[in-house]
Amino acid sequence: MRKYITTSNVLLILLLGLFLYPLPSGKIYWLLALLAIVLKISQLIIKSFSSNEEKRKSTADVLAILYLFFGLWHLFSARYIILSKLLFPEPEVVFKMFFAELPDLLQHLLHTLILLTNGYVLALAVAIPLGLIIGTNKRLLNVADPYMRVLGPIPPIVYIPYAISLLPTFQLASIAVIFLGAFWPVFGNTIHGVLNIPRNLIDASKVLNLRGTTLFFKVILPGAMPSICLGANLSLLFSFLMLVAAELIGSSVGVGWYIRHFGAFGDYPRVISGLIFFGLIVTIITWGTGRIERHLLKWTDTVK
Amino acid sequence: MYEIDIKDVYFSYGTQKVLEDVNLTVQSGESICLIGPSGCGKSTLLRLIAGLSSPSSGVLTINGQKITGAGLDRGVVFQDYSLFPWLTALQNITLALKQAYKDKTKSEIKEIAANYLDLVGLSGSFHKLPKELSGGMRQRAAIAQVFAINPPVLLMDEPFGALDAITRAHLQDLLLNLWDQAGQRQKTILFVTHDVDEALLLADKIAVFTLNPGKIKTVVPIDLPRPRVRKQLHGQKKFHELRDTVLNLLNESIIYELEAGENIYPGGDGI
Repeated sequence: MRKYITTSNVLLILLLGLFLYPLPSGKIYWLLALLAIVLKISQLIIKSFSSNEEKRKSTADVLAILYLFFGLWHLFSARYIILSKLLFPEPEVVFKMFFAELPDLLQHLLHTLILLTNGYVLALAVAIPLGLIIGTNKRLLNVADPYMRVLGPIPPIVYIPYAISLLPTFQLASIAVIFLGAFWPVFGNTIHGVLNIPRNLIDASKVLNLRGTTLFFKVILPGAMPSICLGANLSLLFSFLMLVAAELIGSSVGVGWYIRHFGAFGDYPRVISGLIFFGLIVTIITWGTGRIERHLLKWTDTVK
Repeated sequence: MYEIDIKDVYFSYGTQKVLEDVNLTVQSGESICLIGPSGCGKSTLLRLIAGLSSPSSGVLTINGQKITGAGLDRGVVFQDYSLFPWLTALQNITLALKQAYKDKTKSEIKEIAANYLDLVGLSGSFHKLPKELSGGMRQRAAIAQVFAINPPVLLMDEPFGALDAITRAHLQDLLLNLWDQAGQRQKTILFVTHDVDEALLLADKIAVFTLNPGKIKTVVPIDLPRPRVRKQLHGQKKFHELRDTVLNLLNESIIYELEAGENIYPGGDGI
């Protein structure tokens, strides 16, 4: 019995009480109560998949904070209205809006994903091979180094006007902006990764007379992989950052555009819906890339 | 056949002299142990022969040909057993074998690799990554790799250092077998060790190094009869005489160092 009395469970009960206790007008928040239960059920599902005790605890803690947040939000925007109605719409309004807007948001997501994958994947596809080649060639490295120092730190946003006039379509300009944001972190880290392959492994490949593609795919690429993954994660982060800027270029679609657009009209239920949606999508994407990374780096000491 | 000639070799690391005036001839089929205090440049000498470093001055040759780089004719067992951490034990060995035997099929290569992993007692660990192996197991995998390539020259830097006594004896025997196949001396071996007994078991000659800078002090010929069997070896008077000689030579250089009031260089070991 005792093991069920956890912070997160107590908060869940309080939250359900809060939602189900009728307002003086008789209103009961069925939808919010349902959402809280869905959250709890998804926690139980995650729990059954994970054997790690520490991870289970942390999921429960994360949920506890979420319950607390929703409880306070609801309390001060619906029951005791201290917060501004305009800036802090009550949770029920936001979630109703979220579900109503979901088909639209998915449409916007499609455009966002096209920009993101084009820009990001293109950046990886160019930066990783280029970084591997430059990292293995002393002369090229000496040439590339000053350029990286000068060009790398320039915020990609400043290229926007030029990208728009240079490229035939707005979409290409948007992709170029994301590309530029994503390129440098993974490029720099790929080179760094090649230069930091342990000397004993380089010696071993010399002793085995490894050359050409074998050397490249069996030693250089996997040897640089930890650093490449680090760079790719940074690049993904930069891509998300550049996304909103990119979606402002001559278009009226995309999740970033959606949030900004309705923000300008003061339509905060839609803004918050968009933020929640964006957060969910980013989480799913980073979870996916995290899985790929774990697979690629399963040989390192830090990955279990 | 493979004869190694080391002539007037000097090597320094920045301002620190590591090797000074090293001269040594290793005849084809000969087994020579390098022994001496830590930091005396034994490992560096192996690196030079492996072609991984170049001497500051002097010449190293194999069959009269100057050594300019690494090659598959010289198999190296590093002190830090450098397996590629992203490949399993089996993959590490097959990668090496593919380099050595360009004409063999995949299944033949796999068979040889499995065979040598069995020989070093890693039958159950074919598909384990190096991080899943203990230090001793990694060392055995690295040894299996070099033995499987079967190079005419073996350069080994304390290869059995991290192993327990039984595995060590087992692998010493394996090395002797490979070297002395059917009474034919198939391999030229250079072997770094701290263990005088191991040197006496394996070597035709023991080169004793001094420290600061590293020099070959004496080359002691080990004229014990072969095949050498551990049990009988300890019963021989000659064995104990040689053992005393080598230990005295080692101690002399250590005592000399201590009296000179210089610090014994730590580290610097490992090629």
